[in-house]
Amino acid sequence: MSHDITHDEIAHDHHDHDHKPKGFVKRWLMTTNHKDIGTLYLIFAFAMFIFGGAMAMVIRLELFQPGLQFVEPDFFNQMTTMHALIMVFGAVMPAFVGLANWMIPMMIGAPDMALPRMNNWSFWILPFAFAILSSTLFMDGGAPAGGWTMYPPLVLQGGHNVAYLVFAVHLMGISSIMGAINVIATIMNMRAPNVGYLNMPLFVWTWLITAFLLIAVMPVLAGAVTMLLTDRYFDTSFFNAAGGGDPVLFQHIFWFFGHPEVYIMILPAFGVISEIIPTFARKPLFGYVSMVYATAAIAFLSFIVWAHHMFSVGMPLGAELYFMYATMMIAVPTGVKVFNWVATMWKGSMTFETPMLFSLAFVILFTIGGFSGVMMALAPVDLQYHDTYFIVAHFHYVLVTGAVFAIIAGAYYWLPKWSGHMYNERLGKIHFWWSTISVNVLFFPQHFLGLAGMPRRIPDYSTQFAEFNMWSSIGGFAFGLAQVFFIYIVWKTVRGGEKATAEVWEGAKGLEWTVPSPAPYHTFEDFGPVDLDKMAHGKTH
Amino acid sequence: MNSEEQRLQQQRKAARKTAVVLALVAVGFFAWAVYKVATHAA
Amino acid sequence: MKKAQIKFMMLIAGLLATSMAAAEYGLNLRKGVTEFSEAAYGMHMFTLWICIVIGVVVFGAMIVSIFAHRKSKGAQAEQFTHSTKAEVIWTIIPILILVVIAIPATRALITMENPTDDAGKRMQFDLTIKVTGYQWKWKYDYMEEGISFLSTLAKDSNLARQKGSGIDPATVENYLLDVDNPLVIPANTNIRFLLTADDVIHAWWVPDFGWKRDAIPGFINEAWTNVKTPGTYRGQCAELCGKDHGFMPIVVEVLSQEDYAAWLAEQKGTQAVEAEMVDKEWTQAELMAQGEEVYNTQCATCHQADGTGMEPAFPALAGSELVNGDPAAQIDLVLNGKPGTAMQAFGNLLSESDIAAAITYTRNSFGNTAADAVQPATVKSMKQ
Repeated sequence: MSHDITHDEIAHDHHDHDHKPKGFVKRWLMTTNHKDIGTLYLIFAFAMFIFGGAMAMVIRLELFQPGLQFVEPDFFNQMTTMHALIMVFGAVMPAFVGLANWMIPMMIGAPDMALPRMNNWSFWILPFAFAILSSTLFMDGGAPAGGWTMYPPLVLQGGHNVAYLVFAVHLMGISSIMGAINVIATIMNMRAPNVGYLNMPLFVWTWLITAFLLIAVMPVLAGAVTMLLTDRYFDTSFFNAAGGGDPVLFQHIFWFFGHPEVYIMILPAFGVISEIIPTFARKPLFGYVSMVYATAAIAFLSFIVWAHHMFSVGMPLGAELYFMYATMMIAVPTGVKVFNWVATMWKGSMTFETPMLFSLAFVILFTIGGFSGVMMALAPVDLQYHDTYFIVAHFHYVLVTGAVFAIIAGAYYWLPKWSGHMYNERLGKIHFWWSTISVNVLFFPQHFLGLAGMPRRIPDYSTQFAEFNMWSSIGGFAFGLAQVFFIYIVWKTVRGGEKATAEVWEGAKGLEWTVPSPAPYHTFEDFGPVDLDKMAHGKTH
Repeated sequence: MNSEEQRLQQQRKAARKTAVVLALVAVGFFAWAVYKVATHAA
Repeated sequence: MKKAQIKFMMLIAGLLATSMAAAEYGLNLRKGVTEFSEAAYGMHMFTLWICIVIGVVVFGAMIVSIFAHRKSKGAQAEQFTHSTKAEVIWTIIPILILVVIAIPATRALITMENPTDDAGKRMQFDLTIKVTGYQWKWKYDYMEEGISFLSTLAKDSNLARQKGSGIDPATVENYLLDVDNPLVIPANTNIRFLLTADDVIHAWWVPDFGWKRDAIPGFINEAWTNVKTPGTYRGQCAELCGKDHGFMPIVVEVLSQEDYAAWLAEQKGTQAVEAEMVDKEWTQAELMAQGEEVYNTQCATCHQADGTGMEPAFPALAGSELVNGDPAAQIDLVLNGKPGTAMQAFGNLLSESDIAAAITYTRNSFGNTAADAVQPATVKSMKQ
């Protein structure tokens, strides 16, 4: 692929008419620019990814061999709880919001997000939320240790970290809701005049649907944790059986949030992958319209399957059957997506740059996570799988080799557009193979551990589980190190390197590739109609 | 005020309306969750 | 390229073969010893194979495409965008597969939740066992027989699992999967379990029986089993329940019906003797000896073997005002627990003798100077 520097871009480099605000405070703290806010989100998400990852390293270190060598059980529980909260709310969700901020306006020909000041606010809440949450690590009694699911009555034994946990979750929720409102308002109101809904790239579509999920379920989580707070401090008994409350009801409310939440983390990933595969297959996305419908179907189903997380709580037979059938249905639209991606590759003209490699790994490894998902949808077998390492393996396949791999793929894909430089392809490929091999050494043996009977969330285990835990830990350390290497690659790219063209990738379609690289501070300011033939996919004919 | 800015103002106004509606929906879901729990007979 | 393809196929075949062989060495789900666990196992294998077949087809198409339709081989991209026929086919086929999986799953679930006997009538149970989860032990009540006992982590496992114990877990038999008093049940008997908890949510799980069920405070859950083969079966708590969640295993000894009857008679004898012990006057030395034992199995997890506790969640007993003050206040706390904390109401959990002994032990150890003896009879009178 050639990256000729055009005359135009040289001109751009030399005459910076971007009008970026001067000074750190004005540029970053007070910014209302969607690109700057996107960058902030991405940096924050990556910092949290490393922070939450460090906790995972503590977990894998303690589980390296049987016996307790490094931490006490209570601290171990704090680590599993905080690792999950930070990865879910601090790393994966903000990373997708960062991608949305950067890309959605450029993909639909809008000058910025619809509500730029609220955009600034929704980002700057996050550092405070996580400062509050993390501060509990240094308090008497330590951080929350009742699991990220926060089930009462256990979570209420956490002393005063309950209050910090609840307020942190409130702040994260407010941030997410404002972010989601902004995404919807932008997509509905700010599209270039000739861009219809069915012209939008799939990444925009998946985010639109995700944003609706966020608005529906984050308030439900906020309500649930608020009731935890009043149970803890104001003598209410919402979830306290001794006072006439119902601890299982918390689980229903939590998973009414929690199941859509997992789709909040994977639908934008579907969007990213649906952008990347057509580019490197040099072929339009197969079945654009069915992709949109499948996304909507998955989002709808996500609201009616929550209790499959609770097959062991003792529900009536009818309820268990219903939740089993409804859950199995999710395999249908998800299957459509996977088949469509494969059909997009079919008879294409593929090349294998780093974003494509991560996307291909995504398709295979996410599907493996989907297979175990179908298996655990079966209620009678789930009574075995539930709360074991089989589940841990499943959700890390869909969240790490699913969501996180998609984010990394997206970062490589759009980094030249953001920074104006090409990353080093050789280093990118090393990062890919290193991550993909280690992540499988990390998570694949956990399937065996779970099936052999190892429960999740335990700091120590019977000696029969020793070998696979050791493999898993070795994979974990290698995977962690690979992501530190990723920092180096990104840093190196931002600092310099081969200049990127406007199009960046041969065969790339989408409005973002019509603006120079790096993308100017302000784009699509003229509100004019855009060239629909340049759009990623969608119904242009 | 030129037409570009006018268009931007119009879009922003419509966006604010969308945002208010969505915020109300969010508040509604919060209230619904609390209501469901509060009226639930154990 | 051909060579590489062949190599790759061989690698896949090799991996599949190892995973088959591995199934023999306990990497797969256990088949278990009940009708239900066998049904679960069968369904697990059936679904696994379906997934493997789908995986081979889908990933196979991907791999063919990756090798054949690459730019470096001069592949020209076609520009087709959809095919209604293909999309309908790959919507319908998964639905059919799901229906095929759902049928046995429905049948198995009905056996679990609505068990019936051969005549199709609601199943009769010969034995009912109430399982109560506590932080971090299990209590078993044989409802018809009137006997009950606690089941906690075995002593050698408990010593080895302390941080920095210096004991290699490999030297401990059934490390973390052994208890002091296993649940004993007869084989070939329909047994009903009633599950509940006293403090937080636990889950009772023996993989060989094929199910786990949550033990929830304020709720009573039901489950059942009928074990075909006598033997010892091990499991663990499966719902995060606090710091020692990993250390409350479950051991079930399944005896033949004759052996079970003998065991039952012996248990009834022991519990009768224990009941008499409550009314007799104990010596200080007897109380201290018994108390040390009880303290170390029941109390030391939180308050620590040397009574220093783990502030702020678990207060120190050494130098505690309560422990050095009026015995009645301490007895009251131990009997009724402290709501909202991990301090349980031990009144329902331990015998009066054990409670009296443990209290006496704390009042005369760790440098505490109450220097008195609490008699089981006193505890008994306060319990009413």
